[in-house]
Amino acid sequence: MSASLAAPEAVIRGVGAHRPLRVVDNPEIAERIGVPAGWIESHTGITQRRHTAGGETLETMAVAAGTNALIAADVPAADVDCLILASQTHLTQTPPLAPLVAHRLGAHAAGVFDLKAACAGFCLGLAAARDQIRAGTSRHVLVIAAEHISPITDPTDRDTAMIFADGAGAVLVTAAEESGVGPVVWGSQGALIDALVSRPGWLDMIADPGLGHSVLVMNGKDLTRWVLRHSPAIVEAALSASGLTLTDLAAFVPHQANMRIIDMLVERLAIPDTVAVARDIAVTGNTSAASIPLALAALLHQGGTKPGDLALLMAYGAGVTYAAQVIAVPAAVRTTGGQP
Amino acid sequence: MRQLTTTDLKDLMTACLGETAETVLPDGDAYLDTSFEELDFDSLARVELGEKVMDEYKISLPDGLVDQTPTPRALLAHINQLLATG
Repeated sequence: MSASLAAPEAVIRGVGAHRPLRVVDNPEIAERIGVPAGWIESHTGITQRRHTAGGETLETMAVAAGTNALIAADVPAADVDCLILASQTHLTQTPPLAPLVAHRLGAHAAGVFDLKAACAGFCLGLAAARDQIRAGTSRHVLVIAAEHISPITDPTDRDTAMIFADGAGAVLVTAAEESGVGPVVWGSQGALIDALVSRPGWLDMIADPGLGHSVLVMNGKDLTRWVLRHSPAIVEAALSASGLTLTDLAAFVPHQANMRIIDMLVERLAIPDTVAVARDIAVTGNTSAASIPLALAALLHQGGTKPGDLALLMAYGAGVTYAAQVIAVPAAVRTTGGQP
Repeated sequence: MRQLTTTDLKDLMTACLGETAETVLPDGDAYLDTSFEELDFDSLARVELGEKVMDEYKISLPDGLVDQTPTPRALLAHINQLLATG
């Protein structure tokens, strides 16, 4: 073995997104959950969300977002060394979804795996991609985050039906001389495991088939309290790990959980007015792991940032799992399905 | 010892409600005896209110306090008791 001259850095070369075709507006949900028109927007900041339609599935959304990231990055699928699929809504226990997505994409040389870390899955996948590239294991890593949450949402549940939605986002991370993905800051808080769960569980359904299928059950206040208390330290650590401060940022892309939580975070973190804050949740809803790449894609389409700008990503969700890192914003983005 | 006044509490609640505060919170002190539920003060607003009180008054509130207290007047009494006893 011989030592290489310099370890490569990792950079995001392209962003891909797929927004499902069916727009679900607030009046439809409001009637189902028994609230007045206007209530959903004032309580969540969400005006619409998207659900799958016309044959769209978790697999087709993941393939579309992955294809779009590859096209945006101008990297052929055959050159992908590793494909990481972040999702908490692949409802088949075995096999994982990543091999099928790689097959559909033509990424036949790629090592593949599913990554299950709820809403933090994308940022954890991006961290794994960065470290693979810096270690020399891979030159091109495709990170796809896809969620099909509508089938496991109780359409009459006020806590979840107005919030959750479907979609997929992806990034192609590649080796480069300059760093474009900073060190991750991550962790978990398993004491809050009950804050967002799918119930009943598999074993409960096996024991009592009459229970019906599993749906998401959320205790949003515990999650919100946790993120409000811990986000300042997480953000400070993520910025510090990259040698940056808030004033170096051009964009803040937090997990799109609820517009009011985003507003609280902006206030609590003292995000400067000069920083563009991703607020894709208004038209997309909460798409769990897919929310950050979808929000990043929307920012790029809207011209809210320019290539090379620094953006802070911060994800947190069920578990609790969390991860944050700074990225350099790429130039290339491609979206299919409904436009943002 | 610093105490939370009815005006302080209303200001904090207004900050938590944002644009909807104007239509939700009645004029004067009438809000004090209206239940949080009737004021449409939902779980996120209650979390935010608790965090704001803790930040500004440097006290520790039990996690369930704002959730389990029925009215702003009862909450005011709880918080001022905590402030008085340190």
